[in-house]
Amino acid sequence: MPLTMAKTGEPNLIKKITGKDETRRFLESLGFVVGEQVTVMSEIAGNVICRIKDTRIALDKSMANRIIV
Amino acid sequence: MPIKIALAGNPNSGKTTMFNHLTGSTQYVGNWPGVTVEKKEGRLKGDKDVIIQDLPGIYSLSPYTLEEVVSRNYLVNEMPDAIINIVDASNIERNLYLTTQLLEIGVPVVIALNMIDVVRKNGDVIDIKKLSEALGCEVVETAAVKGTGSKEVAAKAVVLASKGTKPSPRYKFSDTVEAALTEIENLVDSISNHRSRRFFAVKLFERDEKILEQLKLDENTINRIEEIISKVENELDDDSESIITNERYTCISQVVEKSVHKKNKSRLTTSDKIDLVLTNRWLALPIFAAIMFLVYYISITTVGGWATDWVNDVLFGEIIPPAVEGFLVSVGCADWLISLIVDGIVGGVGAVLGFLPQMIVLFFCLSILEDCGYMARIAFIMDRIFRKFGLSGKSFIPMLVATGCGVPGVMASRTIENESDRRITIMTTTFMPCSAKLPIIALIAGAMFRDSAWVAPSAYFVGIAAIIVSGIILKKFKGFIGDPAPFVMELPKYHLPSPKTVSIHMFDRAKSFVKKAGTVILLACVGVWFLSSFNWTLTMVDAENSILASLGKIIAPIFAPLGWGDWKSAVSTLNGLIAKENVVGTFGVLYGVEEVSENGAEVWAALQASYTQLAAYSFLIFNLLCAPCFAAIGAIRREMGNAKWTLIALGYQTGLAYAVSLIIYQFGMMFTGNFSVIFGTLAIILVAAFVYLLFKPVNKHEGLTRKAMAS
Amino acid sequence: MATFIIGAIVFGILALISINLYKNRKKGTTCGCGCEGCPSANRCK
Repeated sequence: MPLTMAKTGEPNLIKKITGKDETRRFLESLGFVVGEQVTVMSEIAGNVICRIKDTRIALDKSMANRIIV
Repeated sequence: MPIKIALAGNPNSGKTTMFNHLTGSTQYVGNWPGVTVEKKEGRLKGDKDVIIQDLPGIYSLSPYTLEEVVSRNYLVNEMPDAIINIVDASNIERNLYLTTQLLEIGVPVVIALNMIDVVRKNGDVIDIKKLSEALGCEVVETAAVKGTGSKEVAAKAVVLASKGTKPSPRYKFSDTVEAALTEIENLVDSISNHRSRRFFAVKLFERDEKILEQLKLDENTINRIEEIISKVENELDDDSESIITNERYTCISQVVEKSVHKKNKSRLTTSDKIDLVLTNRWLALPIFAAIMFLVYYISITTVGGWATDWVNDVLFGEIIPPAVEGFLVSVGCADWLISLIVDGIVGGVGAVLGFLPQMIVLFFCLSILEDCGYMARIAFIMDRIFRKFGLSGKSFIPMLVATGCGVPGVMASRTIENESDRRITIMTTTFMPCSAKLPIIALIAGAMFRDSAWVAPSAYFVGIAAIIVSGIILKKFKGFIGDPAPFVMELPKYHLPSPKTVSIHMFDRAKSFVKKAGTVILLACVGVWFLSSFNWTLTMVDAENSILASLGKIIAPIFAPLGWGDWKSAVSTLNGLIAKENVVGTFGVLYGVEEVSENGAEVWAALQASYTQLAAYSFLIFNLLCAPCFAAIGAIRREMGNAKWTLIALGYQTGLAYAVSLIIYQFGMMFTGNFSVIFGTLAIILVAAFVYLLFKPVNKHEGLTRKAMAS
Repeated sequence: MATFIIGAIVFGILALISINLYKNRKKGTTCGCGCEGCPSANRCK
């Protein structure tokens, strides 16, 4: 399921990242790689703040939907 | 030849803080990613032969964002003599991703393991020796905010730069990939002996278009490289870019595993707990509104207000003007010179300087909010609202910067990739009340609305509302249609604001405010004094018969429907184009001249007598929203890149300001039973037009076909 | 006499400010916006 649907506070493993090459590359440089653990900290109308590799990253809905957990 | 040392690292990892520390400059440090848009240079304190360069923060060397392009071009093409790689130790894995790429460039690298104090506080341990061995370069522990370690890093970098020692990382990618990279290195002659051969090989492997272009390889070589890449891709069943990314992260986790010992891996930090409340779905916006209300209330109405009252009424009222005048009279100065000094200079500049205490308090509050990490969250919270009308939360960053000064605010819009988003951001960013508009707000709130808590904070919210309304309306016009850019932003950890950063920020603002008052404002006030004290035959007259009055009376009728059709207000507004503080400075001179040699408090009393509260509020709103000062107009011109869009922006801003002020004044008059047939009707029509534009559905199809026709 | 001396001082200072302002603008260290510490001061022209 996409990250937007993940339950708040629960750690998930990233299964896949979809989308255009350059967007994916950018997400990867931020630490979003397959197999990494990601936790949604809060969610507002599809926008999420998630924790990955010890940082908090805010993502809008369209970006969060590309991350499949 | 001076030695060039570049500071590179992830956004918000403390580069600019270290830069300031090393060079002794006071560059703007913001606690959100993306404050540094361009590279900046400074000389190392104590060694003038060393140039330190602060680069924009980047996550990798692949050119995705503008900051990445700027940094990468500099690092690869201009080649500094050494790189100081600032690594946020509290988030070491992600930060080392960039490090692995920097090590490939072949320039000496020193790693500044920054925020080491945070790591220690968490109880984590990082083995510097092991880390340095694995990465093949020197590692120094630093805490840039406290200033520890920066000097050692710089010293090491200088030594390395003169030796030219290349980093020699211990970690290796998997054999297949390493073999392919070596093959590419040997295949391409132009890079075989290049200092950055590893970097080029990796980029060629990733099929980086810009590098391919730059190297100008012949067809044959390109085909050979393609063969090598496809072979590896088939073997590992992944595309070449992802292969490299995975290799990097694999190496990093090996390095980190050996050298970093985390006490507790996934616990809810204090930062997370604060976020649960502050970015809560329902509470986020009310909390934001309450905080901003409080900030403006404290700084303008209460604490700052009391201090300003004293400065205005006592210092620039009872103490300085009588003293200066007394002195000038006693030495027998001519009347005109006394008037110039007392009314023109002391009156005008004093009127502006009087608001310094409020400004200091405001910027004290704002920099605390910013430094502790809250403001970065606002961008996230606002993204939800902005997205509804097609802007992204990224547009909010320039607006946050613009609360200091509109010029850097407009320039910060450069990081927005989407053209139409950027234009809207440039056009609307100056609606935020900048520090120069603060005296206007404080004057109206203080002199006209005594004891009213809502007027000053309302200026901030009117600014945000104007941006939101403009966003919704503009997105419906051709040239602005388009989907919002994706929003991705790293949120800094909450921390106690550092007294140093807060005081630098506050002091900087105060300094430039005073400086501006002593230069631009001073000159403008003298000009206003001259024009308002003489008539066309250059004889001294009452202000009412002066040159300025005769000119002002020509344009004043334009503003009559807004409730302030007297020439003094018109002239002040126009003068605000030079600098917004001038609005207040001009009042100071004009009402001062009239009240000759009375004290400052009476200046504001005279102002109070000539305005109704409604007219004053309409005046405030107009000056808040209308075209910004010339400096900001210049910035808009540069960022828009052409005169047409600059004119559209200025026209829109002034038009909106006029419309909103008209609506406020005319509706206010209606409620008090003074309906003006012409302008009252106009106000109603304007409201209807606003409502129509706000709720009109976006015609995406039409926009797209028009766009297609245009291109 | 006092008028002359004080007048000279005042106008001297005014002239000095104008010249400095003009110089700084040409050098690009300030655009008159007063924000020397801003990230873009060196671009203010």
